[in-house]
Amino acid sequence: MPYDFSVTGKAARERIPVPNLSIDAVRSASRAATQRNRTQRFALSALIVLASLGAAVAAARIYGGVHIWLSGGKAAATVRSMVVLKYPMASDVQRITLSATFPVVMPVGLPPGTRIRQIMYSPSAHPNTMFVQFQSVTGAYKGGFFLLDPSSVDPDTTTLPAATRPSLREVEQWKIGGETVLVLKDTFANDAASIKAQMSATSPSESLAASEDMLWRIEILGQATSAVTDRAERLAPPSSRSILLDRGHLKSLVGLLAQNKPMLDAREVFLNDIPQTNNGPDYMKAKYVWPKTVAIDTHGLRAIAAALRTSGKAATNCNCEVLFNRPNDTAYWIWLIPQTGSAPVAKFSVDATTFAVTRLRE
Amino acid sequence: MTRWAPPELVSSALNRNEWAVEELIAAIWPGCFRLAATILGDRDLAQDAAQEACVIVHRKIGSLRSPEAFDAWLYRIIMRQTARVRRRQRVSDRVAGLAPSAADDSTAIDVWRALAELSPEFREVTVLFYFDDLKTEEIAATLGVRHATVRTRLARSRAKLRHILGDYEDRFDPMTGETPQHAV
Repeated sequence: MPYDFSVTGKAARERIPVPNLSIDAVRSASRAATQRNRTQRFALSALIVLASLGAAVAAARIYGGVHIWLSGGKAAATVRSMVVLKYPMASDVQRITLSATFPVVMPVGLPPGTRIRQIMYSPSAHPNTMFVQFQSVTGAYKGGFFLLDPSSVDPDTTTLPAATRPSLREVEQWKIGGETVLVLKDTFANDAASIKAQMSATSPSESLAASEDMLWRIEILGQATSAVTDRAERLAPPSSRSILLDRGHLKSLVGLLAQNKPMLDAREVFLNDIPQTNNGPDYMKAKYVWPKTVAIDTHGLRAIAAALRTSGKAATNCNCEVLFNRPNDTAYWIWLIPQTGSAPVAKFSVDATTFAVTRLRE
Repeated sequence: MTRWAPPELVSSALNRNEWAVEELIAAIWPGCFRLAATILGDRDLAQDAAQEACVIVHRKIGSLRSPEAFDAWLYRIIMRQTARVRRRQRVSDRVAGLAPSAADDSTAIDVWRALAELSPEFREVTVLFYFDDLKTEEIAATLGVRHATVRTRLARSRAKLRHILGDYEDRFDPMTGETPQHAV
């Protein structure tokens, strides 16, 4: 008997009983997966740091949040805790260096256009270890410097654990007053001698002032892209706090407004209780803590949404990044900066009470 | 036009409206589960694959550029999840087949039996083509294989179905990939 395979199959499939779906389970699994994803990104960043650290610290044993053993060509690292801060500003570096256990001389004399991409430090309260990571003028990773408290560096390598680290790489090492500096020989190879000379002739406060050009003048939430951040830094008023939101953060705007939640400053993350395995620290099982620092409150988010509406764009597909500033108590300033370098920037003033939007000429 | 859910619901979900995302998941769930069940031939595995597909939709719907892309995107997710479950569970190539429901007549039972006889690759293209009415180009994009591969698999699958079911009558031309009338 001929019959229609498609029709019969479709009808039979429609009769398959469907179990109930728990939307709560989906929601929580989705959040857990997002958290895992964030964790993996941070773990990758931390692994880059640690790979450099393991390779760099010839005969170093650092106490506190990070502990390194070395023997011959092999090293093992125990990392109990650390803090990773992306796109640091001068105020961030001042806070970290003031709480450090040693007088921190920041790297100076780096090639023009070099920026500090992130700083890893440990322990969080009073760091004796800092890793300052740079990016080139194009935004490419460019290696970094370890700044260490000399009293926490121990050349004794007799108590190596069974675990091993990747093979060592050659390092340049020098001491400036109360600081030990380590830099991989293959990064800043041409500039190491000049950097060393300039750091040696610089005091901690002078080095902090000198490194301001390498620090960020605005708070960058998300991923910095050179073309947009350069424009944003030029546009941002120097006298008040400015925040740049990348597309990822813009996409979360609708959800945050619906839940009446502020946008948090996620530039800094604390990794605590990092478990140790035979293969070294297991970052995936570390406890990740993001401080609950508010970057933009709910009123500020409403102002951004109002500016986007006026421009006829949606937060999810405006192909732009947003620079946010509050010049005074009565207004917000919002800039929509296109991701393509040549397109014009749109600037809006949003009334802080009525959220009425006025387009301004830049 | 989307086949899984009303376009306006998909649009709202794309804008990360939490309510719309959850409504969308509720709307697609039966279809996700039934498609996975048809491919995997096992309710528990299908529930696993379909639920994971919904989790991915919940997480990533905001990254989709337009509502028009939703159908193809969802098919890709479901097929990847069924493949993942199959790999993890080491489901054998020939599945037991879904237990027929009480309402199934003998022809429906024959359909399940025939699908169970097909290898996973053949079953995938057969289900997407005959049950979901996807074009062969769309199936190729969904499964990440060449168009010619899909046509070959369909042709072989058809031959095998004809052998299993006997009364096979099909107007599909695998060389042209014309939309079928699906008669067997």
